Amino acid sequence: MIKLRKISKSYQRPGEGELKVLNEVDFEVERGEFVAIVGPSGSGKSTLMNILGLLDTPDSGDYELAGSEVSSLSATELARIRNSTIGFVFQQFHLLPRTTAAENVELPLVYSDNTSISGDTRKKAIDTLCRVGLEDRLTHYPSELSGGQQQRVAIARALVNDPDIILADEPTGNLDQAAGSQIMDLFRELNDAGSTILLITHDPQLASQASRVVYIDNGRLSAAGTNPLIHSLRQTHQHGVSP
Amino acid sequence: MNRKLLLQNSVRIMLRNKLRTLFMSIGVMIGVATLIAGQSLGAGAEKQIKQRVNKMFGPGTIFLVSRTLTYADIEAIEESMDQVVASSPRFGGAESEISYQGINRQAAVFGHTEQAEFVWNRGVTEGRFFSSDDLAKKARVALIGHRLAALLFGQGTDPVGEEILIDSSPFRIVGVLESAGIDPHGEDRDEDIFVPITTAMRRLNNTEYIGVAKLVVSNHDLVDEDAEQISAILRDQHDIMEGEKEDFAIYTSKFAGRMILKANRVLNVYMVAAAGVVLLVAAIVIATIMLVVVGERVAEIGLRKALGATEKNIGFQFLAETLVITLVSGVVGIGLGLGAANLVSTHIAMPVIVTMNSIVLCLAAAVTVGLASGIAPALRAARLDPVKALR
Repeated sequence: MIKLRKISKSYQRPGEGELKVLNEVDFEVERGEFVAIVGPSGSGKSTLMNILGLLDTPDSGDYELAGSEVSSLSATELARIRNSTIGFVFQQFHLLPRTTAAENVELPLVYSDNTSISGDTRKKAIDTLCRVGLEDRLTHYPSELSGGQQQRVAIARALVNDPDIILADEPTGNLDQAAGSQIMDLFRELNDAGSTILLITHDPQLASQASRVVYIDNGRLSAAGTNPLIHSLRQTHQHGVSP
Repeated sequence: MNRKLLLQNSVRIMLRNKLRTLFMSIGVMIGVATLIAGQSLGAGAEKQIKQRVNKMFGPGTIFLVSRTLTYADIEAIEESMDQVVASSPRFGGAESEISYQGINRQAAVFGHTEQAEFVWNRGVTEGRFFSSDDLAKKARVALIGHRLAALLFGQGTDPVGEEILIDSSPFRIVGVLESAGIDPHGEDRDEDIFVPITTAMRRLNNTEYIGVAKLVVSNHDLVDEDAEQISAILRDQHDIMEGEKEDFAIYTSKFAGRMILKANRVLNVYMVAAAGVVLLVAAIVIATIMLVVVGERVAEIGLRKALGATEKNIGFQFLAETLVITLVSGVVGIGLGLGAANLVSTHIAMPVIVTMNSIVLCLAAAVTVGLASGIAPALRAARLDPVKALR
């Protein structure tokens, strides 16, 4: 599904010279996996997320997404692939205000070339909201929904175009414990139903719910594997360095 | 991309930000309303002016105005120019004292010939016009405008046969003049009195000079050329040397029409210029508001890009939002402008003429404002970096 080879990315920082955010990162995700990328802030995980989500391009390296090479495509082609292949879930939900849940979920279909659903985009949006358990909140505005419900709307929006992969960036960061664990349950359900999910978080506890965990620090990836022992060691390490 | 959904989106955003939409649309509405009102009233005024000029002058007419114009001058013109088919001098028009049984009024008294009924295009509605006999005898007969008659004799009384005093001389009313309304100088032509020109010159003023003559020529298209020929004849008659200033003026029906229409068009140009300034200000206001809107919606733009919107999609969306607002305002402005024009037209009795051209012009103006003001915000939105926009 995803194959990164020697992906590097640097930023120029005024007065401080070049900052290497990603350093020859190799990374693979198979179809149907639920992978978590864990790292503290400043570790390069946001940059990695942006590159994986085709919102940013690497300085060097190859990126193969769903069987095709995407590192040298134009902005317009990247937008098309984002629309058809990737579903984003953000920490801040990013729902349009004063726009109903169904309209928010419908949004990716506006930019879709998929003619099979262009006739009844609203029905598709409603079906997807039902999938995340919001069948009784279709015409509610974001301001009328709880944080957990808002994130469910966002997940429905990520699902509506039947993407190959869901990229979730700190999806529980703005939620309380209970709402957060419900969202994680939903991700696991979706994964069980066949969705490929990539979770990016600073929280090893959350990451442990994924089927595979990858650790990122200083622009380099290291596999934490599925071994609970290594996992708990990482957790200790994590708690030791992050505030 | 699903254009229908995107447009629905624009309309929804427009309706959800009512106050902002109002601020953006008000300038276009006023500008377009001014434009359509000016166009429609201008076209109406032009039509009315043409009608009035035609009624006042008639096609193929030439006016001679001179303090030293005599019957001999007119005879000389008629002798040498076959194309002059009719002529009728007019004398006076000065305010005179009119009295009837102790009621005193001021009125313009004109001396006319028996030809005036046709040449000056004003007959009588009651009684009779002058006869050649009246002219020959310098008879003390008069025609009276209906409003003056009502003032002197009271509403509804038949003035024919009554005797009035014009500057203390007794005249008998033989007819009531056709209504002519208010002339372009604001004078009520229904308070006029006509007397035979011979009577006016000899008995009332004792002069040789006529003042004004109206000639009718056979071919309207040649009226300006005929006027030049008349000018040459009058220079000869009045012994005016080469290079010397003329003591007469000649106006043709063509010339008068041209002058009045020119004045009307100058007025129209001012209306269009005023509308243009309003629309320019409207465009600046809309562009400013849209730039602020783009700033406010950075996160939305980033999100849309993440969801697969291309630069073109985003640019199109913001341009569409601007265009929907300006186009709707344009349509509302056309309605407001026509309403205002109709209101004005009922007060000043002027027709309103709405042409397809003026409506197309107004809609084009609205679209132009939309494009001009929408392009910079649309480009700024389209070029936003999604990574920065989502932060």
